[in-house]
Amino acid sequence: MANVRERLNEERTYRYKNLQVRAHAGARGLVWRVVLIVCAVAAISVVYVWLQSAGGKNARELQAKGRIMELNAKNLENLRLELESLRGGDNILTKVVEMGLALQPPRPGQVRRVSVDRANPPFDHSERPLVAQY
Amino acid sequence: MRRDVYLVRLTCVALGLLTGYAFLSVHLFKLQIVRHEELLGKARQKYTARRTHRGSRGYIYDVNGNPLVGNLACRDIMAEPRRFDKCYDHILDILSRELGLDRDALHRRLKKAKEPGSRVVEVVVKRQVDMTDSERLKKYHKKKALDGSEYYSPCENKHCFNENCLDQLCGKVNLDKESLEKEKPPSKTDPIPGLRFVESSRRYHLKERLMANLLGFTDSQGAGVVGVEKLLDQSLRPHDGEERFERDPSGNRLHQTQASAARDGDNVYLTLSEPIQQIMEDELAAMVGKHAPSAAYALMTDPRTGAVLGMAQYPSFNPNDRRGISPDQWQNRILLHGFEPGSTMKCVAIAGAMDYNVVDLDTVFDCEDGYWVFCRRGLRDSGHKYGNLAVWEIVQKSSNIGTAKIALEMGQGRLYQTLHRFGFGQPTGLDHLTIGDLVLKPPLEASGIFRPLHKWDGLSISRFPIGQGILVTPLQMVQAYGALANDGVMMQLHTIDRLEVAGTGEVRKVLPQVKGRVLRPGSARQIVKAMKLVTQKEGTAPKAAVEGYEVAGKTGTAQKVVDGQYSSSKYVASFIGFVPADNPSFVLIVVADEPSQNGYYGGTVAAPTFSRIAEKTLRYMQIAPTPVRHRTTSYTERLVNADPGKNVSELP
Repeated sequence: MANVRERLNEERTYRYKNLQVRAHAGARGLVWRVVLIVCAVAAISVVYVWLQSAGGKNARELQAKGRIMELNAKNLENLRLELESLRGGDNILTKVVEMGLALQPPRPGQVRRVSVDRANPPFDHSERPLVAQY
Repeated sequence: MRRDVYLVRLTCVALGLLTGYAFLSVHLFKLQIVRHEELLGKARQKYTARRTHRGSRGYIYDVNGNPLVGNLACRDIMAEPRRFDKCYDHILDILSRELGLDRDALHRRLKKAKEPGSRVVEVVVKRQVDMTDSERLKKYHKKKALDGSEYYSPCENKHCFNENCLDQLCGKVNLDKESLEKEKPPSKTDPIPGLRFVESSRRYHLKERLMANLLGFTDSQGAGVVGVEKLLDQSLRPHDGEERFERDPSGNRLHQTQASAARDGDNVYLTLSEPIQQIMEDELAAMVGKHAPSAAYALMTDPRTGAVLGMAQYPSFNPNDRRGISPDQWQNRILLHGFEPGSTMKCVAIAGAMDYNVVDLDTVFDCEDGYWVFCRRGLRDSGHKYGNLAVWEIVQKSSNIGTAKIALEMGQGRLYQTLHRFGFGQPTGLDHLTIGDLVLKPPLEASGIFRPLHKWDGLSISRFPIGQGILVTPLQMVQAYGALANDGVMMQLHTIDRLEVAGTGEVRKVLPQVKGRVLRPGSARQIVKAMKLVTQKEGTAPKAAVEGYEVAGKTGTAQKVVDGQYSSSKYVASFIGFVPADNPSFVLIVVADEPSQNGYYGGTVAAPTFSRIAEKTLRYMQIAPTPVRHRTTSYTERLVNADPGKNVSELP
């Protein structure tokens, strides 16, 4: 019986060799898998740390920009108030006197309402284009 | 034997470990269970930060949305002098120079906090510093001089070439300026250590003195002290928001745990109009310049709604710079100061007499040639000797005797009822309003002096109707004349037009409120007819006339009481009226207290100012002039041409 098995083994060498190859491939695959996992974990960790650091940096930058925006908004509001203050009647009248403009609103009767003949309006814009004349 | 020894040793070690673990467990139990809350609180304090977000106080606008009061962003500057180190004197110089502070005074304040062991750590250097000034201060950073000493400079170059610093820092070193200027600025700047900039805001009156007495001001904490700021403090006041977040040891934010948003204060819109107010203040200033009174007021209201259109007074103040101001300047005297109205009271009394059908415009009274004794006291018509005068002439010529006789016809009870109905002796209740669910507490207001009927003496009936012995505020007079102008209906005076709720933008409008009817419409129209004559050339105030419009009004020249007696040198000159007379756009009173130059009569001092304010305001409001056919030209002329049987009261 044993002789028969040996003979068969000798005849079917491929089976023996195949088994040998499979055993080595399994061990090497495990090592590669472990290495891959370790690398992946390391890479993920590095990326995570890098992302965290970049996120933190961005957040700080955002805060700084926010502060600048806040400051600019405040300055803008201050300038708007100053503008309104300069637009005040008292200020304008003072400037009018200072600049010698002598601006006066129209006196009663100075501006007269012109009676318009509806049938024949003095300015009929429908026929000619409206052009500013100087 | 040996085995037993091992066992004993093992047991001892095990017991020792067990005891140790037991102690540890007890300690852990104490930390984790017993002191859990306490320690958790301490830990939270370490890593949790809290930031308060301040909302901004509501703005105040005029009726057309022109901003009057806003908030100017600024900073409070705090200092921790212990951190100034060796540069203390240098930093002191910078602070006093940049913030305009007295160096010695600042040193005295900082010295206290600098002393070792002092409980004061931080000192306020200056509050409410402008953003530009604080930014300039923030730019200062540490530098090293060529001789190795450290200093602070706002210059961006590595070495300072500021004119002020040059001698101090680089004077000893003979170096080429150009080569130094080329040097790059330091990459990282160190601001002045120990300085802290706290964001804050300052109430800012955009138009400075305009409406200052009405608007009032706030205290350093931002709470309203007086004026509209106090009246509507509840609405204007912002609600602070708070944010809690966890932070890392460097103070950087990790994540937010809790936040409540800040809410700005509501915006308030007044009934006053900025251009009208400007006209009034300009003209009042011109009157003050010409007649030099000790005080002056002008008040304008819309008789149909009771809305105040303008409120000016002298003396006034600049709310943006309140250093050294006195209560006389910041108080709203239109609400608080009473004066004897003089002849302006006559129209009210005569209107009452007509309302009780005691007299009409054509009823004639003997004016005793200008001098009449009543209750053993003489009463004069100032400067004139009138004989018989009709009621309309009594108003036009402002006869004291005629008015006193009308009041006598009327009787004490009716006169009292009339004056009481017109609101004398009681506050007007200005801004006693309910806006939505907000009930306003009316501002402090004088009630004037008007004695109750049981305290009247025999002379009262002849003196009260001519405005003597009675004290009124400008507000009361305008309220009363508003009723005359509005066909006898008195409106509740108010200065608030609407509220704009922050966030939602919801607008809560104040609706006009009727206080009551004080006269029949017919009686009101009759007295208006007589009042129109005052500004004719035969009246006491032709200077109050406005070209193209009919003015109904009345002058007042009241002697002031000095040491219990009427003074012959101190007067209150006033004019009150409305334009256009038959369809009034506004009621205006102008009062000059103790005018000391160029006359003292109401017709001379106040009437021209009334005319100028009215003319400009009518033009601004675009009120059409009264058509010529509807104008009352001159009553004497009309009387000459009128049918013999026609009464004056029947004339338009």
